[in-house]
Amino acid sequence: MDSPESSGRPPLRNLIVRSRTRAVPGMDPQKIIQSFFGASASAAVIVLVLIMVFLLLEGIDFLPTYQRELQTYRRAGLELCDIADTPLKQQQALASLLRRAGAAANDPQVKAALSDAEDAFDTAIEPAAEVLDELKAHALETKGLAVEFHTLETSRQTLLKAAASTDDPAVKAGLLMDAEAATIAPVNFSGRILPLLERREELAAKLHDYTAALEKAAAALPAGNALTDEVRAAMPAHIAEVQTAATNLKTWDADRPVSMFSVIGAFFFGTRWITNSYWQDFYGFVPLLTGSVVIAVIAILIATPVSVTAAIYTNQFASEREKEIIKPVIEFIQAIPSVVLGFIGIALVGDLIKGVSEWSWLQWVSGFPIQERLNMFNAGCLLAFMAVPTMFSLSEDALNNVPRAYIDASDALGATKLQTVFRVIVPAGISGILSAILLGLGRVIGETMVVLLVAGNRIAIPDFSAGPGVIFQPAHTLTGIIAQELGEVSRGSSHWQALFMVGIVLFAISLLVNGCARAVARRFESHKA
Amino acid sequence: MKPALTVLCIALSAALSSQAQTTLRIRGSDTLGAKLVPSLAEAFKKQGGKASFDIAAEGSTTAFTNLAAGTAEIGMSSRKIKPDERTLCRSKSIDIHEIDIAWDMITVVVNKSNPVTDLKKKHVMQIFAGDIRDWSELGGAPGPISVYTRNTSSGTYRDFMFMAMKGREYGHYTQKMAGNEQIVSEVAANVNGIGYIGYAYVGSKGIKVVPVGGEIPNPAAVKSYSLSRPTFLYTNGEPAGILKEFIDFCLSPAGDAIISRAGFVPLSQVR
Amino acid sequence: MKPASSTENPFAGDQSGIHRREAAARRVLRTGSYLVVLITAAILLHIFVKGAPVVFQPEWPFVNTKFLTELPATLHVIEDKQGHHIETDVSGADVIKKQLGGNFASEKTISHSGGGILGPIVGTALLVIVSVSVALILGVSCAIYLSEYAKKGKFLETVRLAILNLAGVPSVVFGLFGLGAFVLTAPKFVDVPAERSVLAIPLGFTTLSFEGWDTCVLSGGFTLAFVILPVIITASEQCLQAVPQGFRETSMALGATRWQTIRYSVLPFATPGILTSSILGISRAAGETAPIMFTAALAFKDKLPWQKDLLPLPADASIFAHWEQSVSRFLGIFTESVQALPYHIYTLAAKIPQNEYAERAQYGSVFVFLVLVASLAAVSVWLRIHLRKKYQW
Repeated sequence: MDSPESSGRPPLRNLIVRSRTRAVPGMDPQKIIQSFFGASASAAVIVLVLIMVFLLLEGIDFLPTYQRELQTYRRAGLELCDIADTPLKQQQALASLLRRAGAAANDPQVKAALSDAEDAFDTAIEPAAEVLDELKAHALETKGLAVEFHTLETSRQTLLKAAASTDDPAVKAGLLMDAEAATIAPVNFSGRILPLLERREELAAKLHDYTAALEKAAAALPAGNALTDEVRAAMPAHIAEVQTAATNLKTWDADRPVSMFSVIGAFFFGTRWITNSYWQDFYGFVPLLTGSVVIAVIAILIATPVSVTAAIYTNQFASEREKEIIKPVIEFIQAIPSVVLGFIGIALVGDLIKGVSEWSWLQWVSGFPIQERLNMFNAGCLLAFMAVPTMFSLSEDALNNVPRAYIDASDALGATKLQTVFRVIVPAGISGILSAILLGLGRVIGETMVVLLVAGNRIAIPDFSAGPGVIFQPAHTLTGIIAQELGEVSRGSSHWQALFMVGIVLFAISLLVNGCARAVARRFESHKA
Repeated sequence: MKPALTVLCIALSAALSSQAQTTLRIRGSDTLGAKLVPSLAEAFKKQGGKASFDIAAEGSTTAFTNLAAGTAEIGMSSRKIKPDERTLCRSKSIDIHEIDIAWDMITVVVNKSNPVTDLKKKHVMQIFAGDIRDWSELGGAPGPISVYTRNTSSGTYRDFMFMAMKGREYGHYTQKMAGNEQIVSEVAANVNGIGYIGYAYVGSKGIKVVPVGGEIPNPAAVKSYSLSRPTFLYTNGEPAGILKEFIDFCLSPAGDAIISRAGFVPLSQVR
Repeated sequence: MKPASSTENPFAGDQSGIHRREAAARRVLRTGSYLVVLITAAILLHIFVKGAPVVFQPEWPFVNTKFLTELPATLHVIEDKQGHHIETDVSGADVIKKQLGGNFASEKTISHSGGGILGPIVGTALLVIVSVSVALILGVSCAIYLSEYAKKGKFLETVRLAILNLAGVPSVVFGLFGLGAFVLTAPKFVDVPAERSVLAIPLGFTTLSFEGWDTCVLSGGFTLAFVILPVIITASEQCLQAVPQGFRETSMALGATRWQTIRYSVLPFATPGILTSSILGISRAAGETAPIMFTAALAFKDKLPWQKDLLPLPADASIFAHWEQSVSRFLGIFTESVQALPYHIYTLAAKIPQNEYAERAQYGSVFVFLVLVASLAAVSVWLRIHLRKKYQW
């Protein structure tokens, strides 16, 4: 609708326009007002861009920082130690099984045999562990020197920069002196790695001795016990791993550069998120992602049937009276703050689920009785509750949008109400419902407080070998880790940057889920037309 | 309306620069900040101290990040400052000043109904490192061990790694809890739970202290307990003015009484 | 339309099975809907049963004023030799101990559980004021553009897409954004720019330095403003669209400019609706925790934001100095960190022991919080119905 321009203006309007024009000479006030609103409208775009910019600003340095840290990890020889250490850790798991078998055994003879076997396991690893510990201490010392050099060097640069920018000669001299004091010789990696390289043959030999001793001990294990059988079954793989490690030790090269590609891989496919470690910090993203995904799946699996049936019922069957109860109540859920639900999860739902899992007639359920009050299932239930209003309202909208003619046609053909609903209305609204589910998923993945309080905060990939009972294990999530750790790390450290990287990924996930939801919904619209 | 807004924005920005500095902002350790320091602050104000406090206790690391950023007057820490943190502060021309405030004893606790009465030092290490995974390995009732630790920025997390675990890594299956109290309530709710807490939290319901290597934490013999450690306050330079008054109060007999009541060991008792 | 029964329709077969199936399916669907309603009711009831006794009391004035008007404090519980528990605060503890004398048995302290929750309520109110004002200004202007000015095209599409996506961004990502943007880089006037300043523009008498506002109400409020921006835009646009097209056409026909039309013929009719819908934004802003965790919230603060020990002015201070002090006192409210209700509940849930004393503080805060949020929602619903009756076109 265009405003009536040109001739024949009413006098009042002339007056107004003139007075406005005088306010800002040479410009059309209407244009100014319009561009003001236009600018406000672009605020949404600008904010979205700003979010991206600030996340990238703080987070993008993560890759070079982490690359440097991994480079130090390699050049100081920590990686060499880990090659041997990682398979050796498995020995403890085997010894744990033996101890458990010993505790469970009733026969004193078996008990004694198991105890002997465990001792044999322990003595087998000792020589290798001794050498490894010495190497580790050396490597750690090198790393300590490298870290100190790096911090001092950075601070020296800061001091020099400050000195360069100041005008006062006295201050300048002081700063320069401080910078001088912070000077330290760089670490001679190639020199310090030599003792490690020299002893790797020895370590490899010790590893071979270990496997031989272990095989002997395993052969002496008493048979017929589930736990010892498990040990025996795990033995070949373990021995193969240790032997591969021994070979890998010999081909390991301290000077091989860490490529950016492998750094990206270490972040996105790394299975360890270890921080504030004395040994080496790892920022592997997979444990957090699996936690988030498993919880989201649980939540969606619970929320979808409930909210879709509620939507169908309210939309098609409910009387006006029922609608007046159901709709406001479900919409009210949206107003319950997530932290309150998290608190309910700790104070009420956790104990409730745990109590139910201890009922004797429910013991056939995988994972029952559960041990942890705070687990993924608990978090999933609460998140499902949170997602219901979103999914309910959007699904109901979708059902409402089904053209009246479809329903009338179905009725005219003599279909029952049920047939109309499930063969006509729901199929016609299915894309809308799917899009509602996707948006619910977005909401669930992005939720923070509930998972922080209720999910149990175990930074490990859930043990999927436990079957469906895996859902009763604790986990940590993408959102939870940011909330828990960000307040505590110093700005600009690799840990800080890693958390911003997690934020970037979350942001990307939310855009992706939104995009999918829109794509699905758009299909629905074209189908309607 | 627009010019008025602009003026308001400018005025707001201007006001951001002129903050009155009579509030003591205290940041850092949860061990100190959840219980002890708020009590000290309240008592200090009661006896006429003219300061107001705001306290955030997210972990010892925050003490140094905030001191370095100039957003705290006092940093609380349950561990000594790390060299790189000292360098960070120095590069921001913050002169770190360390004050011993009290001793804490890290206490290993299990669920009240757990039959295990004593743990060897080696066993504690193996439990927290994830080597021992079932209570039956230690003569308890069979059941997978649930290990609760503090979150990674906590000073207790790091101290425990060195004092009880010989620098070994925590096992993958440990759960990182937000504070001492959360560890207490989870251990109390889980028969197979084990965790460590500051001595201040020992009196809680549903948990029991396990002696480690025969040692029971005892305020009368702090120094001989192998898991005891000093806790610190850090300031920028020698404390002066109201800051000095507060710290003097903490170290006074009145402060000692509060420190003992909060479950820490005052310095006077350590010597 | 009801399906014809078999007696009336000779072509229909035996439909009793169908009827049974119909009824069963209906029951299943009904169960699903009522399940949600029941669970919601159960949770609310649980909070009510545990929380209401903390806030209400049987005798006059029926409301526990202490809980609503005091700042959070450490709770001291003193036990005498007969096993009676006396709850008090830090100053009461000594008095009671003296009174008990030899009868004193033990004393324990529980942090954050004593006093009341005025500090967090005030903090949340301040955050809401800042965030809603910012979001309303931006959101309503944006909605006016979308509904009154925009023509179909690339720009409009981009804006709409951005709004949709903004609504889906996780709240913790807003927290990261707020930390990066407002706490660490927002511009302010300083005499000497800090070292971390990204960009410092000298203006002669002062310097505009991009060094951030630190954690304070402003940072938190601005962060929350962007969290609720999509809600406000969508709601405002709906209200503007609801104003009949005829109003605009009439105004235009009388020769008013577009802005005059908006100003006199559209906004007045849309404003009540916009304000009502923005209440939804308020309850969202009040309930968010993750965005304020790193930008504004504090675990413990023993003063209200406006209580400040400013230096007393000399007797002969000019009016200007007095004025300046009152202004800085007022503005100082927004430049400090505060306690906020959601963060307080987080602290109570995660960092203090679970016992009967703590439980009271926990459920009391949760109850008050929910009552505030629920009454806001109720007001919004009531207003919506009321306004619908008032404006009928």
